[in-house]
Amino acid sequence: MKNLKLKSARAALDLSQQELADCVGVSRQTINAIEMGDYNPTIRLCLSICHVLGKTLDDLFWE
Amino acid sequence: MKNLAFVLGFLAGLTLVFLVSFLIKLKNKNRPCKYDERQRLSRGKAFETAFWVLIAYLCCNGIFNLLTGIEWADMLTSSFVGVLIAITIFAIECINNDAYFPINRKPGFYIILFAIVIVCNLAVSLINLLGDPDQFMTDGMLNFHILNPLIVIMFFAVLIAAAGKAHRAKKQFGSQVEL
Repeated sequence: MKNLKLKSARAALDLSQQELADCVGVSRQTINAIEMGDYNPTIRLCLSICHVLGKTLDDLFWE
Repeated sequence: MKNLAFVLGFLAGLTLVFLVSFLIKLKNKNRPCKYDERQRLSRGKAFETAFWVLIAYLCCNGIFNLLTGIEWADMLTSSFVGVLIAITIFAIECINNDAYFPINRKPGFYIILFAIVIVCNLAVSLINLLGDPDQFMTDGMLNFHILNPLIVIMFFAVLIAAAGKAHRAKKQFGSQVEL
């Protein structure tokens, strides 16, 4: 299932997938895979993404 | 004498590969290859696929030889063919899952490296072919000379996979993709 919450939080900060990927230390394809629902990230990566986007785990990853 | 020349050539080739790898490692001493968690997972799966392909190849080759008594290549060549097939499958699967190139390196570097390997092996293959086409066979079996054209095919397949993937990504993401 697509993670539209992550996509909109990223877009709200005007960050590209590449910029977010650089901030959290992963590839752009990994961010894309998370947004497309093709990859289930570890809690560590989820926390990094939340930290960069200023959101909580519940905001971005809890259904 | 021919075997001695082969062994010396083989050792020289190995030394060159290790030397180039060492120099690249030395150059990037403070910047080792970095793969993210999804890439490591994908690489693990690709490694598993390549492993089973190699096992299947060895089994098929052995059974074929046992049933028919035909040896299509000498021991070294048939083993290396299996390794080349497995490595090609590993590389293509990694490329298709965006897990081949480290996140802190530009794919362009690897593509140039592959192109150099293709050119070198193509040159050796052509020299062998133009010199004496029969030297690819010994006693009715393919010998190690066939490995050069096979390496060309392998790297060419990997290059095509990388180019195809880059093209698809560029179509999807436009300016975010860089080589």
